[in-house]
Amino acid sequence: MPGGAGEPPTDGALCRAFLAGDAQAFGELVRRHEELLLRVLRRYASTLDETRDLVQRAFLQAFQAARRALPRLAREADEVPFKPWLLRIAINLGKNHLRDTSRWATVPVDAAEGRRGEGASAQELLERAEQEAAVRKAVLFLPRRQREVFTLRIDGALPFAEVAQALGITEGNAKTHFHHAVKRLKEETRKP
Amino acid sequence: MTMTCEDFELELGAPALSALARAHLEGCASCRETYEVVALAALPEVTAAERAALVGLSTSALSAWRAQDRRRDVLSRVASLALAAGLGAVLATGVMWKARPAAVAEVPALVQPVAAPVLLEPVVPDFSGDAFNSGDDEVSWEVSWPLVTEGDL
Ligand SMILES: [Zn+2]
Repeated sequence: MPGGAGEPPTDGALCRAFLAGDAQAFGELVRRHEELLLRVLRRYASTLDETRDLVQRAFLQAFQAARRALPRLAREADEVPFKPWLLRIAINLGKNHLRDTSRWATVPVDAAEGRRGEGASAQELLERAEQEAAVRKAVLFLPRRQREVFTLRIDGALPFAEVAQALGITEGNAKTHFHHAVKRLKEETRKP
Repeated sequence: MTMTCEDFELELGAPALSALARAHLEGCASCRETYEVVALAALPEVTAAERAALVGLSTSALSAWRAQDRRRDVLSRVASLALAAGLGAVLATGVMWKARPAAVAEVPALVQPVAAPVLLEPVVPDFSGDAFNSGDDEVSWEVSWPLVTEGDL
């Protein structure tokens, strides 16, 4: 595996190593990004199994994209932008999954279980859950770019620079889309 | 030093609010509303059950990758054989055409059904990686190299 005793290998180096036959590099890349992908993709899935399946498919497609692109990255120093590809593939897979299943996820079941017992009354919990469901549904109905930026920022907790890189837009545009997304969600919650 | 509402908004989604942002939140009703809406929209922390679901993912993903590669190899070979068979049929048709008895040519109804043009261009599916993701056309298109930059403001 690339890297050795010094700095950990970059995503690009691991990706190249895997495509050259190093199976360990594949595992390392998956472990490095699997939780991020889970956080991004669970918004689009109804069950944990679905989320896991989407995460796996995102990795496979990212490696395919890398394999196609590698011959065009002539020099060894050309970095394979693996993480941006992975994120971009993930949000598209999520969106396609939603479209294909025609279901609107609100919150993963297991995660909802974890919210209970914080001292609030049953009525308060119910109201809160309804508000959450409404706002999360509104997130999925945001215009495409706003939804992509908002979810990568909020679910992925990514810096705007990385959000922008994943979507192939400028950092300034990513911030503008985020602002419009927040504004729209605020307007939605004010509706009676 | 103070913070503007725009700056506050851009801190949302960061792992933790800065002291400046927290101070701004205290005194700004609009940002408190923003904060509450984003909190409602955000999903809860990843649970232990969700983390557990990722155990073994690298192994299963690698197996899926290898299975996919094997399938691709088989289909490529089938496509090559189909192509070779198609070309062979075209050649054979040409040979038979040249060798046909002169009398046959005088009976158009017997000659016309020879479908040489179909064999000239056998339909060979695209067995590249994209073709396996028939349900993800959009994804395959959107991650082509280099990344597209459509949709900017
Ligand atoms: Zn403010």
